[in-house]
Amino acid sequence: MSLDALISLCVSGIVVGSVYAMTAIGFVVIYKTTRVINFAQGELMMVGAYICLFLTVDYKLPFWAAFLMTGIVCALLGYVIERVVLRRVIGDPIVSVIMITLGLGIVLKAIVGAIFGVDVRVLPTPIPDGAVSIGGTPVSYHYLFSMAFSVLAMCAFAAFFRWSRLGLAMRATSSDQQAAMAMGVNVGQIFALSWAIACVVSAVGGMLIATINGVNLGVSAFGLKVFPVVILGGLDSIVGAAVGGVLIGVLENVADGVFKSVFDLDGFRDVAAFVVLVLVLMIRPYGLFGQHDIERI
Amino acid sequence: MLTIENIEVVYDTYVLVLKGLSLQVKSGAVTALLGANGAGKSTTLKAVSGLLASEEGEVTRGRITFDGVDITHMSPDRRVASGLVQVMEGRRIFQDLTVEENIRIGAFLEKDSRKIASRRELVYEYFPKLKERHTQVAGYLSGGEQQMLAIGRALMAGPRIMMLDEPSMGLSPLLVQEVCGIVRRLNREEGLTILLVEQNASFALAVADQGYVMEDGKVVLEGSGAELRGNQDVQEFYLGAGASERGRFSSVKWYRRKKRWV
Repeated sequence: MSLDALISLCVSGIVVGSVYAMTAIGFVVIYKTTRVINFAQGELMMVGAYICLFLTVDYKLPFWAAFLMTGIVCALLGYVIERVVLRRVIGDPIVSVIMITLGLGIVLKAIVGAIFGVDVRVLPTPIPDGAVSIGGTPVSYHYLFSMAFSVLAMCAFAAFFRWSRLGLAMRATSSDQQAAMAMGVNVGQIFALSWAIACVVSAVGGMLIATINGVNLGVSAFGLKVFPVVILGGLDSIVGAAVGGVLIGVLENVADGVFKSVFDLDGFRDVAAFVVLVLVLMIRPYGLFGQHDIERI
Repeated sequence: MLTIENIEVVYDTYVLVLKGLSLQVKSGAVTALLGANGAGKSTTLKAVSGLLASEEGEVTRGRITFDGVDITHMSPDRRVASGLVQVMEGRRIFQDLTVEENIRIGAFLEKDSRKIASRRELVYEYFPKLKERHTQVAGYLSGGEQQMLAIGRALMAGPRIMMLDEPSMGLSPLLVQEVCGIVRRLNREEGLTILLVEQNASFALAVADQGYVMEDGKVVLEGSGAELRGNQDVQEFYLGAGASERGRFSSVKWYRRKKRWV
């Protein structure tokens, strides 16, 4: 396999990986604050992509306005999901909470399928079709846009969690709920906020993927990739989600390419990610950046 | 300032923990609440701060008023906003946040940045060690420093009553003295009203203006700090005095009194 091919595999891996990273951040935000393992993450991506499609195609909104509107709508959606569904199962056994998120995913998928149909549709964007050459490898503008936007979004989140009052409250809540409550943090609001944030980042991931691959129900399949990503990065680490996303994206693309050209084996892409998942669980179960509990000796 | 009238607290809908407890915290005073393990001291504090709900607890009877306002069923964040701040048992600092971030979160409900800055200054003046270590991850502080951080964090909320739950727990006698001094200073210099829950009676009674002794979910004895210090029962069962006279009392009587306390 030529070096050029390898580089282009890496580039597309980084792009897909940055979308994984966005979704994984959503997952981690929910897990960190509420300890809910959200199996509907991919469906939230799909919902975002469809809302954006609906607004641009049917409502003829300009792309950027639709992008923004989708973010707002999804924030509301996340807030409502938490208030109406997840709030009722706080403190319930983890299995029932997982079942509820699984069910939530199925319901979302069915609703979207019923409204929009199951065909692949193109999301029209103002991004031109051409490509730029980076180090001799052509990279399409769509890829560049996705990458730049996710990096920007991730920086914004990092800043939010580090410096803002609410971001700090979210971290405090994930560290010790009752103590946060004693400091006047309304924990219920923090839960709803984390769902809203998770919905927005997933929707952004969904829209970014839609600008590249088009929109269909298959977008939700990306949600499954969240698990190797967060296991690799560490379940409770936002940085881990970002780094893990890109790593998994590159890894599966390269593995896929290598296996195709060297061993003539097809479809290794999805396997690679889960091989990593198993390996990480065996060697370093808290992931690359996961929290070890602090113990003073 | 803070009045608890005949409250009953039930955990998990059927475990009765407080059985008609009443007490009063006077403005500007240090009020101590003493009692053995399981007497319901921490539950009393949580009923006042509103943290009961997060433990499936509920005030089923009686009422709690703060400055004349009934707060019995108010949400915990609104109680903090009105100036009732609890320093929880076991310090409960945010271990994976830095010292500075722990301090910042204390002022979560305060929007005025000047007030936040002046409170932070006050906290660092009281606890210069925290200032030295403000970039450190809080989980790596020593036990004493963590207790200071917990108190400092609560100060950031701008409390009118600070409720301290076992601040001496797990600290060496020297550190207990330091905490004792800080409580006294906060009370005298900042005019902070303090409700102190303690098992370490000699520490609590050394600073208290007013004290209550709890047993099995009720108040069994109350009085000024000096009165309680002088009380024979308290001396024997909490301060460890008079042990040599045991033989001279009728042992039955002594046993009965002992049972009442422990």
